[in-house]
Amino acid sequence: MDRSKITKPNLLSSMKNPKSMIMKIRLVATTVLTLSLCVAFVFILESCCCDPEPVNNYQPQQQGFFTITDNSIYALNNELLKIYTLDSGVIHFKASVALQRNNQNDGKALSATGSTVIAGETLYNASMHENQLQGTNVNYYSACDPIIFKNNFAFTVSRSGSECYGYDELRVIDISDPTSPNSVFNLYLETPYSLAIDGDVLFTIGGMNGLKVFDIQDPTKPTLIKDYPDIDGTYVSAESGIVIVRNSNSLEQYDYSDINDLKLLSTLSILQ
Amino acid sequence: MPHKIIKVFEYLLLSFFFIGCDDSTFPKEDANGYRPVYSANEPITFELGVPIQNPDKVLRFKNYLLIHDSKKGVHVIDNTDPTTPLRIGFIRVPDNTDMAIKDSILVVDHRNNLVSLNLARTITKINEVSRLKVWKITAPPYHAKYFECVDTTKEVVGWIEARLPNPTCYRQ
Repeated sequence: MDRSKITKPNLLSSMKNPKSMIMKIRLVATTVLTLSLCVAFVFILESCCCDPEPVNNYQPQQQGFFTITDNSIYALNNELLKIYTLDSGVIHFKASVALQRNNQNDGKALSATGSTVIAGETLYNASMHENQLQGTNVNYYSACDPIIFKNNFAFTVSRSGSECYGYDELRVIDISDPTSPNSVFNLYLETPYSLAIDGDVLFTIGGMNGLKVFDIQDPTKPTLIKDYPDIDGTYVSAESGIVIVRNSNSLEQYDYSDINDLKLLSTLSILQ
Repeated sequence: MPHKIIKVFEYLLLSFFFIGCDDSTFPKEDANGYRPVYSANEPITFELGVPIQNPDKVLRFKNYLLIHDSKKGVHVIDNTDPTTPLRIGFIRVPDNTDMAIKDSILVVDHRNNLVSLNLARTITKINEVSRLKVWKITAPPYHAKYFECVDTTKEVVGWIEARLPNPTCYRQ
């Protein structure tokens, strides 16, 4: 065979040869399809490896966070703040507003005074009743900390052993401007679990570290009046001259008409 | 030779049609996740002789102490004489997590509802004034978890960790 007579196929020759033309088209089409499918394959693999898509757009909800202030009931439903009124004992729905979510502890707790609401660690002015409330992060306060309001101040104790890892301190936050809560006082305390206010007297209870009594006539400068290291507990409540302390075994009632000499009135046992 | 190359490509192409992941993208085997705990549909009742077991919040109403017992209800103590508090009874509120009081109205959560109880006339009888559905729980409060899909005809009051066979619900 004379190889010199063999010519390379070109388009013209291909056109003249329909079989060769079909071959070329098949080659091009197959290559393009294969490449595009390779790209698709990468996407498929990626989606297989990652977390599955939710079946529905589930929203997590938590039962139980609610608080009453004046005649309003605020209930926290994940990113929704539901506002109800309490009229002659009947609960009426008033509004539902979306809350912004600033951090992972938002949604864990709810407290309110007037129209000022703290949901998680964010403070809102709920009087505006907009579709979405814009909140302000409350510095130095975590959703695990108990909080009590008195006039324009929020009193809170924070504990390092809590779920939110606090600071072991008593702190006072000026909330007169809800858009700019301002810490005005803080004092190191050993493992404070709970606090209570009755008039101008503030109690903190620190587990095995005892009960402490503060004068808060000037809310920006609480003054330690008395320390009762032998009264242990993890919860304290105070009203009308009687302070209640709960520990693991009992609920104890103390008369504090003389703040310098608390008198044990009674002990209610707790079944272990 | 070009024939062979094309054939190889064509087989490769064909094989792509048989590759892909399961439509559901959920595991076919067991997986760790959460199972909903449904309410037992128990009503609010008043009972006697129930011991205080897991107290948290304490409220005062007139001469009474209302001691919240977590997930159970509210103990009523007559505290007229604080030196000798008397146990009056127990307002059993199944799955209850919190309580608040305004005047004579005790508000509790019960099976995803807010319920107001009037204590003005008597504290030893349940006088339910109103009940309003507030919460609807459809997924656990944990991220990136499988869970047993919720039966929407029932009330979810909590979640427990469980080994789930072929879970079909997931929370991102």
